[in-house]
Amino acid sequence: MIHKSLLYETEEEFLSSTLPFVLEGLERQEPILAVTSHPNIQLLRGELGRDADQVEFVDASSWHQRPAIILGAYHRYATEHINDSQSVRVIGEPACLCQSKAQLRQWQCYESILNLALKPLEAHIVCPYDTRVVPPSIVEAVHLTHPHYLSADQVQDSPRYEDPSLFIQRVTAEGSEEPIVPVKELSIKSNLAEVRRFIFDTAREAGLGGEAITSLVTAGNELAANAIKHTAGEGRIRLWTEPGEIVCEVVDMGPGIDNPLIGYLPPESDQEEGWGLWMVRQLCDSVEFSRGPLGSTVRVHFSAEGLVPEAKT
Amino acid sequence: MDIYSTGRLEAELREFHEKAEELILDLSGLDFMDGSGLRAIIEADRRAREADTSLKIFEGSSPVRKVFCLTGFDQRLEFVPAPVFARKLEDL
Repeated sequence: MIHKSLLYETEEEFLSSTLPFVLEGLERQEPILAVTSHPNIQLLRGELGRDADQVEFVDASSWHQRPAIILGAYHRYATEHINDSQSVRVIGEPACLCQSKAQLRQWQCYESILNLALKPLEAHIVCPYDTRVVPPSIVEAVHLTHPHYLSADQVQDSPRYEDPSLFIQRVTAEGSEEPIVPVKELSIKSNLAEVRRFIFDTAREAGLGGEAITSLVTAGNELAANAIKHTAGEGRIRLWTEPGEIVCEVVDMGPGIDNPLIGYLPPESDQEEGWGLWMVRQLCDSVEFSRGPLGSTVRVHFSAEGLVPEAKT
Repeated sequence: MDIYSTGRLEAELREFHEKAEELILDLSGLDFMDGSGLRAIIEADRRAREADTSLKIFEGSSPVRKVFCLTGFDQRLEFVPAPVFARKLEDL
């Protein structure tokens, strides 16, 4: 897998790297997926003429916006075309939903995880970033998450590229502070029905709508079920609200999760945990694992409309 | 359906698989299902395909359908609308 970044601030800079990338792919008869903004799609179409029909263009603004879902889509694209040719090409410039800090962290981590998730696949991915609009913290992370970068169609090694496991651990730590708002907590005690009722009641009190409650209950249930499976049922589930989002955390004294890739790809052999954490990543804005003196923690952020801010005490 | 009830489901699915050419799993009364329930059903479907028998599923409530959709199994398993009056096996 080849993974390159492209920072650009003009149309010329965008085209000077993406057009040769597409032309080379067409020459080699490789399947090409181009996810980018509508103006960029028009730019490429303009240059490619009739050859544009050979490229699968996707308008980023009407595509997925959650990193875990995007990664799953790239993986599906690469595996679906695996017999078509030697390799697939992807221009990956999705529209990132990154308003909250948790969403920003997840976006940074997704690029890092891409290196691991697609490693076994024959895929050549270029990730353009428009420095006029992308948050600076994301631009900064680009240098750490892409092994190579493009500049005027020249490939350079990224000297600051960081090992994904280390990068994710470091970024996750930024999001693991104790909340300063009131926290509702329940001991899991091997009773999932009670856990689901707890999440349901808390979410409803917080102002979440029906569909959002279902999603949160589904995700929280999976996390609690994992805690039960890996410990003697000694775990806690905690819920609190932050601006625009509900945070759900499960803490237990189990071994925790070592594999940063878990839940990003569909499980190969239908194991329980594989699908559980896959669902959690599909449903939540961010899913972060950490370990500390208090045990193993998984914290998920779930943004939703209609959340009632906690009354200050 | 969660990790506590799945074991019983798995046992019954295995038992019925040995006796029947067509198995219908009625989820219409189910409010909730988690990853462990999904796994039991995937396993039953795999056994049915291997034995060239059929597994049909009466859809459950929205949270149950969500689990199938999130994992792509809404496309891979055979769903049929639940009949208005479902005859119980013991009535046959």
